[in-house]
Amino acid sequence: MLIIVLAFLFLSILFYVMFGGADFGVGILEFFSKSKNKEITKTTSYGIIGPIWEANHIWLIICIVILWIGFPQYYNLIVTQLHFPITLILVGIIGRGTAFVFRHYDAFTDNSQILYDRIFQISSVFAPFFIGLTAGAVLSGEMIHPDKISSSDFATLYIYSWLNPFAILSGFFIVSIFALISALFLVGETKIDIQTYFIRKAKRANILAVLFGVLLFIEAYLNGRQFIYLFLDNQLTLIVFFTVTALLFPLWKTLTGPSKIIPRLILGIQLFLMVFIYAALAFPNLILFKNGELSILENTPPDTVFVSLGFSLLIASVFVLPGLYHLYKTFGLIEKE
Amino acid sequence: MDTLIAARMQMATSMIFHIVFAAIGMVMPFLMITAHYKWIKSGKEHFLTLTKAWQKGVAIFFVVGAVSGTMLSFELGLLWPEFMKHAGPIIGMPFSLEGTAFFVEAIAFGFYVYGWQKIKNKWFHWTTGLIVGISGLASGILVVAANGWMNSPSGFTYKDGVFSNIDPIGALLNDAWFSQALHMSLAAFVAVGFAVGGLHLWQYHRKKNPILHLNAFKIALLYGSIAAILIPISGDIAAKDIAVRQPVKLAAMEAHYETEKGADLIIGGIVDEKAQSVDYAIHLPNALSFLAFGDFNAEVKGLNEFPKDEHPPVALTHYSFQVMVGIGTLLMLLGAIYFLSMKRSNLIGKKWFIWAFVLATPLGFIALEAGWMVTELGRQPWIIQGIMKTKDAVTPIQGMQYSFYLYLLIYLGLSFTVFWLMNRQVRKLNTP
Repeated sequence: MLIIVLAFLFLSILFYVMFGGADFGVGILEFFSKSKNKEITKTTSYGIIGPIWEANHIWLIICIVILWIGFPQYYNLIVTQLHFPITLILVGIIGRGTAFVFRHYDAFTDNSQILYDRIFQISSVFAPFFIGLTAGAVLSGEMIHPDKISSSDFATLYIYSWLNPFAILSGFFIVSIFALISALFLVGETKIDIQTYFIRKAKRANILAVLFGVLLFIEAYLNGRQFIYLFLDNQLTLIVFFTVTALLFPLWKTLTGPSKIIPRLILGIQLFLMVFIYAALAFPNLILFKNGELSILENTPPDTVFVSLGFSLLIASVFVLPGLYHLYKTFGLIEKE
Repeated sequence: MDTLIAARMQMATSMIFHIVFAAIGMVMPFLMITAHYKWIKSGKEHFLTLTKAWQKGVAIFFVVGAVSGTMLSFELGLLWPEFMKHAGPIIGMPFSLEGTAFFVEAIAFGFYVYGWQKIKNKWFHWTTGLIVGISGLASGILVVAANGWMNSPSGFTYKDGVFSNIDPIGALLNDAWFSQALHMSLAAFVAVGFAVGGLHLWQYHRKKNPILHLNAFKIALLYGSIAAILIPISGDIAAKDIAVRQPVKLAAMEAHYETEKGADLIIGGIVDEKAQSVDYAIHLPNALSFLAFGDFNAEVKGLNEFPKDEHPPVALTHYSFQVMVGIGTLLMLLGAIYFLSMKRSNLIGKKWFIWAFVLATPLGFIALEAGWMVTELGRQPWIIQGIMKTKDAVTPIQGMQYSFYLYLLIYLGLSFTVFWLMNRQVRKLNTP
């Protein structure tokens, strides 16, 4: 059952990156569009994202719930030491969610739309940035091991655990990735004349993602972060990493091609592999601490908890996955070629 | 402001707002599909207009409810990390099921809102709306079950600060889950039914699109009135439950200080916590014993039976309880009047009738909030009754008052915007 729960944790992170990322991405694209193009992005994205908008974000809740039930110590460490960035994620999610609904459900279309749009665009960048930063903080090796908490001061515990260049670069990295996912997705959903616009966006986002990725490695190397040593010492992650990089070539090739499914598939595989790198890097030490090691499997609740959680998740899948599939299908998000 | 107070204020603020959004998000789909049903059956255009108007309302509240719910799921950990560390695995079951129900709701809602053109079979389309309602209600029940566990912890063994023998299903099916979930579900229907009905009746009175608003009133009050008439029963079950399980909470609700046989029911009054007395109150002889235990001479434990540091804030709990019961009784009467108006339709045109229901618009929600105040304040100083104190669960982060201000600001902003948006929806409905 533990395996099943871990698999669901992995999947919920992956799906949140994929679907939540595509969702956040449209706002990021809007933010970085010239004002004359903002409207195009807005109308295109609404037609596509609208029906599945809510569902995309529930993966985050699933992920949180799995953490707090199955891995309470990890959850506890994350929510206390990364309290500030998580609060900022929330502020972003709130601004974004409400602005999205307001701009599409308001009874009248008038000047207030401008405000909704601004809030939507800004929080669409803000939230993913802090999501990336939080994820980066977990890997940055600046979080404090529970044994050392009592001897650490406030700033070390609650500020420097996340306020470091590695985490900040991760924030930018995730913003670029989300923009890429979204642009790539929109390419296949629009008419020919707008397609070139989104292709250009996708390429830019991709270049930025690679750039921030490289900077991440350089920063990690220069500051001697545990992350980079684990990465270089692990043959599996190296192979996977080269696969992800190699896949960039077919991605760019097919981006302008006739098929809309193949580039999505390639990007999907890349995202899967990236989350996999994280999982495989130091498993079961999924948080890298400044001073010591703590496995995610330590101090876990008894088996009965995993049995009930695992069954709940399996039952949930039976209800949710077919529904989700049909939702995507009904609204033309899954099409036969 | 110290961390504990700030964290409690933040939690209370979040709950006060979330409960409104959540209740509306939970009940509105039922009103919506009733209008939808009437449209399918009668083909009358105004039912379709009403369905779509309510759908927009559902959409807005669904998202605001979901957003504030997401915030809460984080806040539980951000504010009460020690609580979540120990309680998370035990009460995870209702939360993971709630996540599922919420997911189903989101999917069904996607189908419903965007399915007007895409879904060919109108009954299938209608059913997706029904699923929104049912899964929303299920989410509510599951979350309340988790709260029930805090009042009546079960499904584990607790010894020397260690939780063992964890049984998630036993925790889900704690002694409080049923009475609390029943009472809360009915309360949500009362609050939303009367609020929506009152708003529409006011528009009807202003002669704006009257047929639509009158029908809206009737649908809303049908749910509101049935629930208002049933709710004393669930209240009675809950009170009898608390009398056994949390006698100190019952004592605080009634500001009942001394243990006695044949205890009076104290209605209203001003509580003097120092002098341990209630001034200017109405006393119903032996009624408390009867209501709590079904026996006029039963012994009801008083607050002084328990150590002082385990007393909840008595005055606030007592006042909240009075407000809840007072409003509940009033709305039950109004519910009966509504049913009378179904027989004698000339009642609806009467001025007093209109004013009574218009003035009742916010009452259900006030009672709902008051009821949660009783539940939460009455459990203090415990976060898990008898096991963990609230002060031992709070986050070690300092400066939590700023977090509280931030959240307060967010919630005020959210509420203001939602209120403004609803106003615009009504205006749109009234402009032909």
